[in-house]
Amino acid sequence: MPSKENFVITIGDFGAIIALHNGNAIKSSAFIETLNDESKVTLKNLFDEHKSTPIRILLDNLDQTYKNKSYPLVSLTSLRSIAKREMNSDGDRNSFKNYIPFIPSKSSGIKKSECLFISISRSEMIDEWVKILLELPNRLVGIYALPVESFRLFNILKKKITQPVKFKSKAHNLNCLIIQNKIGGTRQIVYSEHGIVFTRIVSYDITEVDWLEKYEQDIYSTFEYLKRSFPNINITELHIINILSEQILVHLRKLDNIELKIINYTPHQVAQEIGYKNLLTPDEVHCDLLISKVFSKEKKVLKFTTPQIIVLEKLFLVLLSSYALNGIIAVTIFVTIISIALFFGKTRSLVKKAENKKIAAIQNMIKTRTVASKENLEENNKSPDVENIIDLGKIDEHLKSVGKGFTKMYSELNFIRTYNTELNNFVYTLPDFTYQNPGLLTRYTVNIGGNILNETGDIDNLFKGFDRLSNITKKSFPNSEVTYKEIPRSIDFTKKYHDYPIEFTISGTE
Amino acid sequence: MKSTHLKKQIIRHFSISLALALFASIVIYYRLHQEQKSNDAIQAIELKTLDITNKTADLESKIEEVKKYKEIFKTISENRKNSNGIKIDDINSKLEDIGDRHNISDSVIKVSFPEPLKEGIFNMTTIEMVYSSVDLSFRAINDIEALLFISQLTSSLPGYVVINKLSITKSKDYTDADLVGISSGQKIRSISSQVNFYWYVYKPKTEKKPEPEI
Repeated sequence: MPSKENFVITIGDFGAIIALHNGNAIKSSAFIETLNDESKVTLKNLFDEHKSTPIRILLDNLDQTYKNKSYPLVSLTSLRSIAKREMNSDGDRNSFKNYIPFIPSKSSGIKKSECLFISISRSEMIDEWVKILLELPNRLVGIYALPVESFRLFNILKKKITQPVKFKSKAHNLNCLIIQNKIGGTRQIVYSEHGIVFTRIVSYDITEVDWLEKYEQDIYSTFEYLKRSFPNINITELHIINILSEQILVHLRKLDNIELKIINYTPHQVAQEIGYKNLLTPDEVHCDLLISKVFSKEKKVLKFTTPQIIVLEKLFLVLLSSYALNGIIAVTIFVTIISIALFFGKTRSLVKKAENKKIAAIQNMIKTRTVASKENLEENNKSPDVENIIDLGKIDEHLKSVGKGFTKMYSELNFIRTYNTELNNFVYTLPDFTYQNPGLLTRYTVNIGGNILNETGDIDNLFKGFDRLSNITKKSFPNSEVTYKEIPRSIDFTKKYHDYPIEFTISGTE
Repeated sequence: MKSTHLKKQIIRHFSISLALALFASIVIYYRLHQEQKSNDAIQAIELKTLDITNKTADLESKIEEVKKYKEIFKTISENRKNSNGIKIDDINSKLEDIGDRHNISDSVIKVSFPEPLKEGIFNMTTIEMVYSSVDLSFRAINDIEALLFISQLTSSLPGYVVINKLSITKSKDYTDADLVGISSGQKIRSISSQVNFYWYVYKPKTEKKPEPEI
């Protein structure tokens, strides 16, 4: 799996520096001037110890071309396709090529899109390096251009620097970074706020008397070059940041040119300023390791690649997906094993719970059986006596009291006589009784018939007497339904009735 | 990094993936199998527990039933427990005897042929029940004598009597001449009664013999 460690190999015309980065520190570094058998052995030994550490190449060679092209204002996708088409139509097939598109924001008022085409010539040395690195077990992530990637260093530095000059130019926000590398020499890089604009290698020999004038001339010639793209630029708007050795800076401080806005740093000072306290010694004269460190940690700007690296990248993605797949399966296995362990615990508890319930049920059954045996009753085996008791008990329960209520009913109707009524018919029936299957509750019906006497012959007394009789009958049988035939309204009121036939029905449950 | 080396690594990793996937399948299968097995085991125990609980509940209800019927059994008179079946001679002699005591006249009794009852509550294991439907009509001096007659007659019969229908009808009021006639022994009766009752009597259970093989 990828670790935090990574190799950055900075290759220039004067050699290469290999740096093994880990966090804020450089674990080891080596300068290789030329690739020979001895240096290859050194390389092999170094990489053998860190086979899984990825490698990035940072190119700082002389032959780098930066060509800015303007297009009508189009979308980023369209600009990319235009740039790709243009790049593919270029006859130079050997160089490393890529582009940085720029679409201005709507608020800027700029009516054109721009694209910076970058081309880096492949020297024999670079090809040999790429070939060697592709042979290593380490992953070669890509090739990058030092001037392009130094933009990150510039940005960090810009945020840190507050004095004496704030990085705010009036119109163009152009800044010129001058760095000195061991592998590539001294380089001017001009950045706008979007990235690199232009770079070139310069050469200063401080032993020469007029080198300061050459330094000024280089800046003015760069300014003149910039004026082609930015016609309104003023020399005072271009900030110059020197990251050079103290020996050079001593001379530069003597420069008396009020037009030039110069900020001077040693590589050690910059490292201190941007937080890499132990990266460089105070007497460090080159920026190689500083740029390498910033590049290793920061987001990369532009990657150059080769068909081989593309294939490797794809294969690496497949490899990563296999890692992910293995990880997912391993996690699944782990989770399943954990769930099995938890499941066994839970199951044991559930089985124990179920067993306990079963034991409790068995104990309850044993107790019940003990009681049953006392009652001469077993689960599926009743003693003959018990069977006989149950048989006779059931019959008695059903037949004992059914059809016995007539004497009680008859005696309860005794009150009728006190209401001037003569009873001459009593019928007691069990309408629902079925002899084959008698129920526990049996409905009875009693029909009584007779005459209500009205000695006065007054018809009002007949009605009053009947009302009293019907009321007392209802009260006497509160749990039964009492129905009767009313004295009809069509009765002959002119006639004297000394008696009148009545009929009551009382229904209830015995 | 050489592409061949990378390819080898990819093949190796996907082989590991395959092996891991196989292992994962086995582990997952084992997990599911164990779950099924455990569920089955727990279900078996629960079913057994349910069976025991049901049997216990059944036994408990039978115990309660036995207790209840034991209490009822204690209250059953010997006359009701009689298991000699229905005997017509008995009822005739009792009809005459009790009828004389209550000045009953014109008594007519019809008893149907005893039939066994084997369904519902009569489906008993130790004893059988036979029943007859009885129609009785008679005349009495008054309603009290009629009721006493019916009550004493039915109580005297073995087994259980369920009066299904009973009617008492007064045909007239006694005149002075009727009362003189009654006192001189004439059989003047103003109450007529008709009773229909079912008479249930136990009979020893007859074991059904298997039919002989031909």
